[in-house]
Amino acid sequence: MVFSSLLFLFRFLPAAFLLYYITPRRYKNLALVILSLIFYGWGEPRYILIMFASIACDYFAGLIIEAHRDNPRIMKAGLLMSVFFNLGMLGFFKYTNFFISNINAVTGLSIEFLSITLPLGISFYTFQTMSYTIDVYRGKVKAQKNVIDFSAFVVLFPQLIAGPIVRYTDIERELGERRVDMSQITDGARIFTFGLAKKVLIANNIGMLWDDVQNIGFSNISSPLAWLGILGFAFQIYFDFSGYSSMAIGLGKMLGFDFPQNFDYPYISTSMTEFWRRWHMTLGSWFREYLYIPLGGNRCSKKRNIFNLFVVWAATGFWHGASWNFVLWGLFFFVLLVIERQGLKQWLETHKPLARVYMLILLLLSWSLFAITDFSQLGVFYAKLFSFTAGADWLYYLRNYGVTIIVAAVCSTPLLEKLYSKVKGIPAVEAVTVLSLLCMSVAYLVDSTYNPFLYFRF
Amino acid sequence: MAGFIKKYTAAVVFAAFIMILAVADPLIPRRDYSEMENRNLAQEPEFTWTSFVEGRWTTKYEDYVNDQFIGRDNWITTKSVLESALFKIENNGVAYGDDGYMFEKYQSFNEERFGRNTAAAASFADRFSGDITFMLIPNSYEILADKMPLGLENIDQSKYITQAYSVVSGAKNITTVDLLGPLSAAKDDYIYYRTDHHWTASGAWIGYREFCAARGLPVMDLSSYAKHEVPDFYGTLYSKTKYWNAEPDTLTWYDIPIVSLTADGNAHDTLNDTEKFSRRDKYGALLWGNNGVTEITSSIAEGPAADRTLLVVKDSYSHSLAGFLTADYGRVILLDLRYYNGSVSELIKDKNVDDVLIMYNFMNFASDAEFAKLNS
Repeated sequence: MVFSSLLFLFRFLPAAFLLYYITPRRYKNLALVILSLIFYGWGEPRYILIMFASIACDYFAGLIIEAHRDNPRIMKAGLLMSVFFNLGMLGFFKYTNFFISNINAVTGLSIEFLSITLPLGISFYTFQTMSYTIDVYRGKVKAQKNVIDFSAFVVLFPQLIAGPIVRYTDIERELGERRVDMSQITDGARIFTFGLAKKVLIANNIGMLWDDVQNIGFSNISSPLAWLGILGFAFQIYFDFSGYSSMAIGLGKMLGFDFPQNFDYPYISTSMTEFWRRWHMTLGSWFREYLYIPLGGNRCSKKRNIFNLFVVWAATGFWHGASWNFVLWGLFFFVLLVIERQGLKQWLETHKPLARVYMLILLLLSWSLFAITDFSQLGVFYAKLFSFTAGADWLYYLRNYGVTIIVAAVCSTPLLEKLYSKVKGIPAVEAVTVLSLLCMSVAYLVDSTYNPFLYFRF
Repeated sequence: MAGFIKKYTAAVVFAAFIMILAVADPLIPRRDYSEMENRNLAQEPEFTWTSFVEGRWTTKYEDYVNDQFIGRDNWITTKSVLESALFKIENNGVAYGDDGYMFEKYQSFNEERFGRNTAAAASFADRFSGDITFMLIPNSYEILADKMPLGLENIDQSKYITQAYSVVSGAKNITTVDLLGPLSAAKDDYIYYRTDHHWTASGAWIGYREFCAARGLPVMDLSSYAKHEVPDFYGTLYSKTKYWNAEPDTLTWYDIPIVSLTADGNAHDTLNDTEKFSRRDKYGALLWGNNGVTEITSSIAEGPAADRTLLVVKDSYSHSLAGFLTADYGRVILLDLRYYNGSVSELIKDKNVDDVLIMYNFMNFASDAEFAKLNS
C-alpha cells in the first residue's frame, strides 16, 4: 500500500489510527505490528513471510550477541548471521538478475532470469535491521528482549517502504515508552499533509514532463526540451522522495515516534558536499556510520581515504538500483566530492552565484545518469543536452509546465516554510492551508492517471 | 472546545476531513456507469483467498475504492480547474488547442505494428480477387495543425500514410484514397469534433466523395434527406480531460432510409439507434454502436454498383459514412475485426462480396492488434 492513495487515506489510515489510539498502552506495539503487516502485505501477502524471517533472524542475533558478551567469537557469529541474512536477502531479491545479466554478457551464456518481484522497501528495512545488530554488537544498545517491541521496530509501517532509514537507536526509547500528545499529533498532521501535497501536487505533476520527454524519444527532442525534461525529473524525484519522507515523519509523530529528518532543502546547496548533507540524510549517515568509518574513514592515509570514499559512493549508487548507471551515478559524486575536498569547496563558498550554476548543471547531469538506465540512450540524451539542437517543442512544455516549475522551484527553498512558521499560529490560516492542500491532493488522486511509486527499484 | 480547536487546528482539520469522508464514502450508493467519463466503473470485487494471495483482489479493491469514491465527479472537475489554474493546457494526455479543440498527445506510436498492418492489407490483395479501396484517415491534429498548441509536435501522419500507400500500391487491385488533400482543403469547416476523436458527418462526407471518385461511382444527393442536429455532445476526448470549460459539439446525422440493418444478429429497420442520441454516448447511436458484423440492405442504391455488395473493413470512423455508401451499393457489410472472431475469407464467400473498402483512422490502424485477422 502506498500513502498517496485513496485506499490508504480513507480506509487504512482512519481504521488503523482509531484502533491504535483505543488500544491500551501495553498492547500498542502489538497493534502496530498487526497494522504494519496488513499495510505491508496488502499487495503481496506472500512477502509477509520475509518480514517474519527478518524479525526472527535479527531478534535472535541480538539476543545471541547480548548473551555472549564475554565470547567475541560467538558475538561475531551473531553479527555475521544478521549481516549475511540481510545482505543475502537484498542480494537475492534485488541483485540476482543483475548478476545473471552481467555473467551472460561476459561469458556469452544465457542463464535464465529469476522471475522474482522485489519486495517493497527491502533496501530500507534490511538496512534498518542491520543497524540494530551492529549497534548491539558494538555495545551501543542493549538487545531488545521483547519480541513484540522488536517486531514493531522492524515492521513499523510509516517508514517501512520508502524511508527515512530509522535506526534502532533513533527510536529505542519510544519503543519502550512513548506518549502521544495532541501537540505532537498536530505537528504530525501538518507534516503529513505537506508531504502528501509535495508528492501528489508537485512531484506527480512535474513528473509527467520527464515522462513526455521519454515518450517522444531522446533522439526526437530539441536541446532546450532535454534540459527542461531533466529539470522536471530533478523536481519530481526530490518532491516525491521528500514528500514520502514527510508523510512518514508525520505518521510517526501521530503514533508517538520521532523519526530523523531526511531532507533539508538539498537544492539550495552550493556544493555537492553540502548537497549530500541535505539529501536523503539518513542514508548518508547510515553509510558513514556502518561503512565509511569502519573502513577507516579519513583517519588513514590519503590514498586509503580516497579508496574508502570510492567504496562508499559505489555502494551508495548501487543501493539505488541493480543497474550500472546507478553505480556510475554514485561514482559521479565520488569524483566531485574528492575534487571539492581539494579546495573547490572553499572556492564555491565564496563564489555563490557561480556555485549555483555549477550545482544546477552538475545535478542535472547526475539526474540524467540516474534516470536513464540504458547507456546508449544515455549517450543520445547527453549528446542532445550539448548539441544545440533547435526546435519549437520546448515552447509547448514551457508553457504547460512553466507555473508548476516556478512553484517547484519556490518550494525547493525554505522561503515558504519561513513565511508559514510566522502565521501557523493563526488557526484560520492553518485550517485553510491544511484543508485546501488535502482537498487538492484528493482531487488529483481521484483523477490520477499518473501516480507512480518511484522506489520499486530501491 | 473552541480553545482545543484553536490550539490543535491542523490535527482537528485533518482528522475531520479524513473521518467525514471515510465514514460517508461507503454509505453513498454505488454507480455502475459514469456519464462524465463515459465508462463503466469498477464494482466491489468478490473476495476469495486465492485472488487475495495472488494480489488480484487487492488491486481490484483499490480500483473499486477509486472509482466509487464519494463525490468523484466533483473531485475530477476540481482537478481540471486546478490544472487550468496552473496554466496547464492539457489534462490526462489530451491538449487544449484553439477554438475549443482537444487533441490527443500522440508523440510515439508502434511503428512496427503499423508496418505489419500495412503488410497485412497488402497481402490481403493477393487473397481477394475483387477491387479493394484502402483509405487511411488522418486524425484531427494532422489536418487542424493551425489549432494545435504551439510547439506540440505529434507524429507526422502524412508521412506514414504516404509510406503505407506506397507499400500497398504494389498490388494492382488496390486503390488508395488520399484524404490529406481534400480534408486539408476543408479544414475551416466543421469536419472533426472538438471534444471527440471522430470526424463529423461533414468529414465523413469528404471521405465518401473521395471514395466515389476513386471507384468511379456517382455521388449521392444528400439534400433530399432530413438532416438532424444533436447538440451538447461531449465526446471521448472530453471524457479523458473532463475539462471544466469544455465547449460541447453538435452531432449531425442524416435520416437515410434502409430496408434493414442487422448488427451481430440483431435486426433493425433504421440506420441509427435514434434513441441513443439523447444519451451521453451520442456517437454510439450511429450504426447501433460497435458490432462485429453489420449488414445493411439499401433501399436507395442507384448506379453501376446498385446490385453489388461492398465489405467495409473498418473502425468506428465508418459509422458516420456507411449511410452514404448505401446510395451506391445494394448491400453494405461492415466488419470490425476487433469484435469478430470468424474467418474473413468465409465471410467474403458467404456474403458474395464484390468489392472491399478498408478504412481506418490513423491511430487505430497503427495500434490495432486485430487487423491481422483480415487474412484469416
